[in-house]
Amino acid sequence: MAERSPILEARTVTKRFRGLVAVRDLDLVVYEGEILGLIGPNGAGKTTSFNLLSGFERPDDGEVVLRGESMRGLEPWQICRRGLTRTFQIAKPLANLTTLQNVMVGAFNHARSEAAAQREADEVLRFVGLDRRRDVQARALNIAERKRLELARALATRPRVLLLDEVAAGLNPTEGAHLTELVRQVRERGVTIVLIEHVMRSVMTVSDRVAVLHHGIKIADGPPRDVARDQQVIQAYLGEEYLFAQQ
Amino acid sequence: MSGLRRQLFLIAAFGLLAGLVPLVDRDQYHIFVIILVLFNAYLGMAWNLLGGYAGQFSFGHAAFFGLGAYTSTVLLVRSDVSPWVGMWLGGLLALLFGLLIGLLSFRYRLRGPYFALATLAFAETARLVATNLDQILAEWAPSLGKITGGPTGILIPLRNDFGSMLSLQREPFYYTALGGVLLVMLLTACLEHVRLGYAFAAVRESEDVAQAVGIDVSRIKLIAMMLSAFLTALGGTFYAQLFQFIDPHIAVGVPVSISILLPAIVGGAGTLFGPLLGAALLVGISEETRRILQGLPGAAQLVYGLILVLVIIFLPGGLVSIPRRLRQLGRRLGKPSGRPTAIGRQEPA
Repeated sequence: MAERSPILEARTVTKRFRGLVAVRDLDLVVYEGEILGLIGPNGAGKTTSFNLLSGFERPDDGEVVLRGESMRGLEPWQICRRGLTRTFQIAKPLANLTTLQNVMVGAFNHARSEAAAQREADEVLRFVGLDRRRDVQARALNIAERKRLELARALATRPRVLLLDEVAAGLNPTEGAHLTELVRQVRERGVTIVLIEHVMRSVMTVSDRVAVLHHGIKIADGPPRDVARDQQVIQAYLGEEYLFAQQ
Repeated sequence: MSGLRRQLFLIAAFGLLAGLVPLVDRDQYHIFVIILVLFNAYLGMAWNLLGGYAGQFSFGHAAFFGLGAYTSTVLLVRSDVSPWVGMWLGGLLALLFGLLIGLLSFRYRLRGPYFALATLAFAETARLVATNLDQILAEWAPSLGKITGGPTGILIPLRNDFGSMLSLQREPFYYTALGGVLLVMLLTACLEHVRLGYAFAAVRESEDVAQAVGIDVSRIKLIAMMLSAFLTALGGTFYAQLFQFIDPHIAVGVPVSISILLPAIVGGAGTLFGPLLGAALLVGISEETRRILQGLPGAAQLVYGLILVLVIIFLPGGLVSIPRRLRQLGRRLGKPSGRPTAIGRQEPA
């Protein structure tokens, strides 16, 4: 990374659900070309943060800035047109369409004709290794394939920033490693990536930088190695007893 | 979504065959039955664009149908405007009404059954307006006279003048209905192969995914709604001219909404040929049960309902899913030795 120029920013973003503050004063900067891992225990506000960044939720306070432009008031589809898209934690294949058609739906974000969308989709399917499942209905795909499809459909929109919500969840270690490698290759193509992951090991290896959320507050932000040693992080993940026992 | 060329070929073949029927078989009853099939298929296809392709299940298409029927009929009877002209105004009014219903129900994020109920409510409102408009006008604007004819409806005086979409023969109606079916089929086939069609499918399958890949979901739903409403209203005009009579019940009643959506559901929602097959089956059953059970009042409807229930329970994908089901069955029967039996697998080693 030669240039450290911000491509996506959350500026003191807060989201409340009735009494519960799901995300509080989140400041997050994502630099062009990096892979940022967003981690935290269950209920820490990771998915809410993703929803805020991708426009699926509106912040109560603060704003999201994509490539220098405020996303205030924009719908998710408008944000996608501006170069940011996401995948879903629970893969959402368009069940009655074929694998190819699923990806074509993404490619139509820029493609104008069916032929162009199909060319793009075929290329992306080869990239994620789903080309052999091209013509089956998406409902017939297994979990690992669905995760790849989720990635392929998002990639076909040609995003500048890609938010990946637990791409490796529910996969066995081999499949997970494959997907992690795929994420690396996506970055090689010039796509900036923010990923939520529950499995600590895969985030730590693939991410350039890691931000940790706990109870809706960012408690750490830095290189994986430093974050892994952070007392607050250890406490958040393993509980106070663990820290107490250490002393 | 199969290849566009194959679809166009099938449409052309169907058009040619159907076009030849009246030349070969001059039996007026047969022709009338096929008119009913074509007419129901047309309405099913119009509904299918919204309910099948875009996945927004409307239970209130009678509103659009009635708007089309009443608009052209009132214009014809009061001002002698040909329905060939009046139907476009009816279509436009239905399109605007569809836009209004869509804006309101999509604005409040009504989906699935809630959207269906909202459309039903709008259709019932439209029926009440058709029933009571004259009385209201008599009170507030007596100079306008009668418009909808209240509960008694409007009778269209019979003439042999196809310039006013009226004829003593069946054939002109036959070819009009066939033309409508072919046009909507062409429209549907093209839709399957353009960006808009993929957007319809994406919205139907998952609104979240559609949003995430850059599709303006609200706009897509409104387009589907307006298109479907417009085409349905044209069918309303045709109906009024074919039977020369409309009243609030037969033009805007709940049974109308049901008979508009049934061909698509029975034949296969979201498919090109589904509504045509569905309409053929439904009209066929309806005519046959009525013929066979002539002496028993109500029995025909009962049997019709029963067959309908069976089709919906055992063929959730509609008639078009039959070949696929047969293939699956064939595979299962064809090579039983290819897979280990369930028992064999569960046997402890």
